[in-house]
Amino acid sequence: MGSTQKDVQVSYDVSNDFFRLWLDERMNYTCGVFEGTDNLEEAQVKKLNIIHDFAHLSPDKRVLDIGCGWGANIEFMALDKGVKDVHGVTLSPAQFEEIKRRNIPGVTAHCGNFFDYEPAEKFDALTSICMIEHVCSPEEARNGKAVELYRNYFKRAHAITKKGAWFGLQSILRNFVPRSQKDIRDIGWVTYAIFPGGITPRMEEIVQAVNPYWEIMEVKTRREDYGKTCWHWRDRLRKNEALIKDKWGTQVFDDYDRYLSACVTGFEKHYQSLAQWSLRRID
Amino acid sequence: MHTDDQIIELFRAAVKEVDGKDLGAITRETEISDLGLDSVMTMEVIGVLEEKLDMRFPDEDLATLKRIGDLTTLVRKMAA
Ligand SMILES: C[S@@+](CC[C@H](N)C(=O)[O-])C[C@H]1O[C@@H](n2cnc3c(N)ncnc32)[C@H](O)[C@@H]1O
Repeated sequence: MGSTQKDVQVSYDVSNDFFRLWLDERMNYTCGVFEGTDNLEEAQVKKLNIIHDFAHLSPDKRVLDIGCGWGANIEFMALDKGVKDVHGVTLSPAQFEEIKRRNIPGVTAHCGNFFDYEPAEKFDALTSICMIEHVCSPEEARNGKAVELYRNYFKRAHAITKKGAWFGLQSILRNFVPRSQKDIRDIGWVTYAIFPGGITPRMEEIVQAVNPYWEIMEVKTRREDYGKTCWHWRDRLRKNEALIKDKWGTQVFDDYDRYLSACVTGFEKHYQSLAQWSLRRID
Repeated sequence: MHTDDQIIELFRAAVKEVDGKDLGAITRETEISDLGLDSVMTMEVIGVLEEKLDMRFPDEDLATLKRIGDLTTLVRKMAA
């Protein structure tokens, strides 16, 4: 069953102002795409465009963003792309507050669990940017439950979409097992202390789990882009060191510095990668 | 190409490097779980061994290693 609401609050409810200090201005808390740019804000918009295209969106579509964070993607779809009927669901109350504060025309957000979410009407398209990492816990993965849990996520996604729907999905991927003590400890600590209840999926687990609900039409990996994204986040975090320590304490700064450093290493050494998927509903 | 004995010697050196301890007699039949290494140390030993051999074992093969002989077989399979 992955992360509970309590777990999710550990990851995302530190403080909206804290995350605002080191994420891009839209507050994407996921990998950007550094194609032809070294700028984090631009890289995030490139990512949002790719997911938009992978979901085959157009203004007349009704779309749901699963695990919508602080609203970066729903805001982008509604305001930048003119999609008229945009919905988002997040399990984090703090993120939900930020979305309400943004008061985006054409956007309806819901605070709750995607697996219990019952839309009034089915969707033409789905997007989900790095929420699937919360669907299976390390214990469940060890007990061989990963594919079953991910399949349940894709089944649910299938149940709430109309025929002909497309799904723009982004996910971190777990790859090599680290060999050094420091890396094993750091990666383990990030998993349990920063993102409790979740674990990043392996590519082959997703490839198995989409069946029989979704067809993989395109997939693009972006390991280096995520390394760069984490580097930018850590750089901004460090530039705000004094303020962060003052407002949220030394421990918070140290924890986030350690976590983002572990991620930079993790992507460099192939412990983790990232994939963007374009999925078509099997009707 | 390494012989089983050479691989066992490299493994012994890797344990020494990671844990500082000298293993007693080990053979192809020795169970890796009997060597007193925790799971983190075992992965570190694998990492050192991979460096010495200049190869990288697929993660899923590591999960199936039980005895030293499984390891020597894996090394020879990888080198083939
Ligand atoms: C890494 S954040 C990504 C947020 C956003 N998509 C972005 O790109 O910034 C993961 C998101 O998944 C949400 N989430 C995790 N488990 C969930 C669940 N069961 N139901 C709904 N949302 C969930 C979290 O609340 C969070 O918003």
